Amino acid sequence: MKSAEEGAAPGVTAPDPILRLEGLAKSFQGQRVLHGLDIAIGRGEFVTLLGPSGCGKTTTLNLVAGLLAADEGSIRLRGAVVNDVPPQRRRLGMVFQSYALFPHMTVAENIAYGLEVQRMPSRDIAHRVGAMLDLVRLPGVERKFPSQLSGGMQQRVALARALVTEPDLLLLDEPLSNLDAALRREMQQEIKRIQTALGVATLLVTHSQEEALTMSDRIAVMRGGRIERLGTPLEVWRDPRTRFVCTFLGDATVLEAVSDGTAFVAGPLHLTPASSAPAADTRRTLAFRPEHVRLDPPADAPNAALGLVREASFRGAHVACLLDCEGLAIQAVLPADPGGRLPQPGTPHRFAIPPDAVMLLDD
Amino acid sequence: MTRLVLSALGSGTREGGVLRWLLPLLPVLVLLLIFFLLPLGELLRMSLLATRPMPRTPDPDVTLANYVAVFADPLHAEMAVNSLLVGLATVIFTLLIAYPVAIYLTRCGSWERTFISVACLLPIFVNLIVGILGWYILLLPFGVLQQALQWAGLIDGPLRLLRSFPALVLVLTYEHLPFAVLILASAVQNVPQDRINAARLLGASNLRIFRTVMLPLTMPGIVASAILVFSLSVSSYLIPILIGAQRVPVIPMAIFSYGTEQMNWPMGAALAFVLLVSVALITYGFTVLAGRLTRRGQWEVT
Repeated sequence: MKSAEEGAAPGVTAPDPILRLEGLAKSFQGQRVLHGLDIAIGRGEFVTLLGPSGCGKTTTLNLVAGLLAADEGSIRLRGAVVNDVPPQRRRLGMVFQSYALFPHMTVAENIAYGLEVQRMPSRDIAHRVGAMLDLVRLPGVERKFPSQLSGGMQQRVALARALVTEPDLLLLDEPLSNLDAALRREMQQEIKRIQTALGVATLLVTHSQEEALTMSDRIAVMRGGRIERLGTPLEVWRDPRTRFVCTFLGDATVLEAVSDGTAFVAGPLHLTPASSAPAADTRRTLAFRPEHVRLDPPADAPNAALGLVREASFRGAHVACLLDCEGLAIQAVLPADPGGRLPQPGTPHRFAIPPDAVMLLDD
Repeated sequence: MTRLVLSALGSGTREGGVLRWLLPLLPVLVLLLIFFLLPLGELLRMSLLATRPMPRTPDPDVTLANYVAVFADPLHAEMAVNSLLVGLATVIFTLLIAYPVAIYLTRCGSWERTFISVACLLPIFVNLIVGILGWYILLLPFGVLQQALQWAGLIDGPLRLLRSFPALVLVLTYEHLPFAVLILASAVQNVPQDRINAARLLGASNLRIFRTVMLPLTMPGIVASAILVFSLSVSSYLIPILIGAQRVPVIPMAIFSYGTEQMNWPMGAALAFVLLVSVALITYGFTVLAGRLTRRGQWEVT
């Protein structure tokens, strides 16, 4: 499920972003968790902050929401600096990891909460709540209490409550981490569908690369309080630039290689990247994804070498292979053979890495 | 060992399951029986005996005459009204002070939390009479407070602060505040910050968050502390007799008087029983009302 190779990038250089963070910094008890973060989100754009725990992504979200105060830098919402504006007046929608539904209120009352605050007439409220429940595909649960709903349904209610006030920016704090795998995939598509239908700019915080890749227009991969790579899912996936981003997004074989003027050499492997020819004696870190490794390629395939199959395990849709190329461990994921044949451990096989698949990394 | 006793106890019957469930409760049940139910039964029995001047020679006749006398005496009615008002006022003031303290306790740093907790618990460690006498001296017509006020030119001549309804409520509130703070602090602590933040992001003012989120979610704590403070205040004897005295007569003073000065134990027992049942009924009514208001039965997972 690492496709999602679609999705243009609106708002990459939006002239009028809904949210712009500039030099945002935050410390807790003398410990810096954010080091001058810069990012802008265009109207209707879906941006994901992706990173391991402790990378500062949730802190960033709480700063945007106004639940924390920034030490340095500015937060601009709709063009205006909101550093000192309380969360009540930031007009944002937010879905919490715990959903944070009000247990003592019915589903309808939960969703209506933001509208009640705005003193909307009760007839309009009922209408809007009904429309919202239709949008999140939860008809007929108005009078139930959250405790009577499943996790996925509570998630939909939380989404409806956050969106009913028609905010132009939606904040999602690891909204799917409490759901099981199947439901998570379903809700990814649901959230994306609702987000697209409403055209609401969205800032998602997650540690799941799958979520980030499938849902986002752009991904900001964070590490140690900084954005290490920012781009569309396809850009970030194909050209991660750093070893951290490369391995955080997915499995990869990472090699240290030295250029001989025409190709990068790592042991018996001679790899020519698709980009410009490297200058001689350049040291670089190279990587390629397991699914890009071709087994038994045509004789004229570039970047080919001979390897010994160490392990081959059947995974249903594909076969995971570990190749030993004179001491270099090469991971390969091969499409499952329709005849059910597996590469036999101990047998030598030629393999090749297409030049397109070679990624050049900095550390 | 326990298993052995259990199987020995359970072997005779098919009710081994019930016994297994009952056994751990046994010490508590025995304690309750000896120190609560038996005296209570004795109280009830005594209250049904015909009134005699000497308690050692009770008449064996069973009669409701004491209860008739309890309800017939207009002094009792005045005392009941006082008790009820004192109890309600103490509950209200205790909650009004304890709730903000409880909220502050959950928000402040650890140093402040320790300080406030100790300050709250201190009155419990101070001997009750010492505490009351402290207030007594403070409130006396020529006591510390009044002298200070007079010196500052705020009052002209001594006031009757002691022996008044407000003084009684003040001291009862002081005495029972720690219990309410402790109960409410844990209730407030149990409201997840996420829910409050969710309400904030939806635009709710602090007042609205308090009314629509905090209050319903901390209702069990409010009910528990209200019940505790009410029953402690209504049944308190020392504080009313020393602070309010005859200016604010309350039911426990009459019970004490029947039991000691008048040596009329059956009347005292009847009055005590009426007080007990009234407190139980009011407590029950309050619990039901609070549960109804927050629809707790419908949404709370049991």
